[in-house]
Amino acid sequence: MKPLLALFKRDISLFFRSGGGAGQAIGFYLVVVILFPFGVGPELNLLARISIGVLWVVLLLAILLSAERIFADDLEDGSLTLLLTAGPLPEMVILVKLLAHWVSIALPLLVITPLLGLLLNLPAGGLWPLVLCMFIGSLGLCALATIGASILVSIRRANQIISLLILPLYIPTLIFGVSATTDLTFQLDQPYTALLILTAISLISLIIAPFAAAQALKANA
Amino acid sequence: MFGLANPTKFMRFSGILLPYLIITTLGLFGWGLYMVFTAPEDYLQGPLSRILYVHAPSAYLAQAAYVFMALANFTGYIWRHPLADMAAKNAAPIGATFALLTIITGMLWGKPAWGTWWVWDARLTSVFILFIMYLGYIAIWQVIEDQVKAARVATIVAAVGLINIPIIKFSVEWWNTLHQPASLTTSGSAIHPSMLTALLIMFAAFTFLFTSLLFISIRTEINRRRARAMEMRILQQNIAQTNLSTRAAINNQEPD
Amino acid sequence: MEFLSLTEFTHYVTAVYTLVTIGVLGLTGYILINSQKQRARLRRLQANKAINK
Repeated sequence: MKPLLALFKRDISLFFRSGGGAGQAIGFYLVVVILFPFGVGPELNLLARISIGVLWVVLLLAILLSAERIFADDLEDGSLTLLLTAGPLPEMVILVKLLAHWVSIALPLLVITPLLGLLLNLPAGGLWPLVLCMFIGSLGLCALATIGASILVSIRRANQIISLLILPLYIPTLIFGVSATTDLTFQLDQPYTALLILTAISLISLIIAPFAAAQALKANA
Repeated sequence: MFGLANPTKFMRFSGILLPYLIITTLGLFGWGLYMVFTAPEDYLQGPLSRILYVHAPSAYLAQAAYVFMALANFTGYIWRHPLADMAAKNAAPIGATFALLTIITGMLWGKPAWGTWWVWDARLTSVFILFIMYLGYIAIWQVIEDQVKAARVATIVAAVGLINIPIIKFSVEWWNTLHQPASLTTSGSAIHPSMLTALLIMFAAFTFLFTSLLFISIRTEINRRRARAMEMRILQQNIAQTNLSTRAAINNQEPD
Repeated sequence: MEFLSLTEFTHYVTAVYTLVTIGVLGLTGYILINSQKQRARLRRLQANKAINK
């Protein structure tokens, strides 16, 4: 357990100390969210209608576009081979790296979601459902991103292919994430159905990802 | 089946089988198309019902090719079966083509039947996603140069895709019913027996087309690998000869 | 939804069959051209080998 904890801390501090740190992630969200009203017009009703979907898409893009970072640096300096051969199970190492990536990329968004919600005129009572659903959904999204990153670990500048590969897998999470958020916000008939399915998808992804990624890294070695 | 793992045996076997496959494919297409254009038209849709005979088999083939591809990849992964890897690699472009044809014929059917080229209908959307998955899979084979490595990585891509296809279908249907009511259902009109026969023949014709094209592609792949191996051998011989002659030249110079 | 005339329906059907034909023939052509290329390459190499012997 101790080496895994150390790895977790190492990954997070490496992420935040290289290239802008948490500011980079938050900056990305701000830029995309600010661009939207300029694109679709400043009408508040329209913004309120699309706000949940926009915030979900921004979360998805942030995780998709940073996927390459999960293994790239470690492969370059050779520490990935060490991590996978020495010490704990490769699957556990991958799970820890996945969670560290989640903390670095998804957590900042959850923290500034209240501000972004104000900018996009998020419907009243929509904040907590949104944060809760994003919390659950983003774990699954990070898991799938890990699979993509491990598959193309030995390819340079693989981000576009990772996007192509992972995009289809993101669609269920996006659909149920938005649907769960909407159901909880407006308290529809069965507000928890979509949330339960979203949780199931995230859990399945979290279980499959370490094994698939370990196989992919082995095949790439 | 496992005797076919040997490329030489496969070349001999497929060389004998291929002419029959091609003749069967052409015959089935001729028969099927004749049946299609003599079958009665659907009462509701008129001539439009003839689109079904190519749209449905394309959709079936696009999905079946993905399953075949994943199974071939598994076989290659577990039994280290190089021919299975080649089958998976070469099934992907064929499947992608038929996914694209499904989308195009669906759009051309949607325009007169629904009044718009594209609706985010659950089925159209699923096929569209399937097409993207094919593109991702083909990209893997192209970016990873070492074919053995590419085969192993492609298996993981195909496996993850295969697990996800039902989840994607389910979620797209959920999303679709959430956002818009079903556009049009033709389930009201029962299929006339002669229409069914024509449709079944077209299904068979598409399956044989897939098999023939796949056999030709695998043969091409084997030839490519053989040619590559020969080129490498020639290159090595050339290098060895150059080394010898340089050494001789150096030896000759030494007395100076 | 406005109702289209039968001839217009026929145009769509013609378009579908034309595009499917183009698609299938295009794919077949692509596969056959590749097949010929590799066979020619292999034959050339084998002929060279025979000469060198």
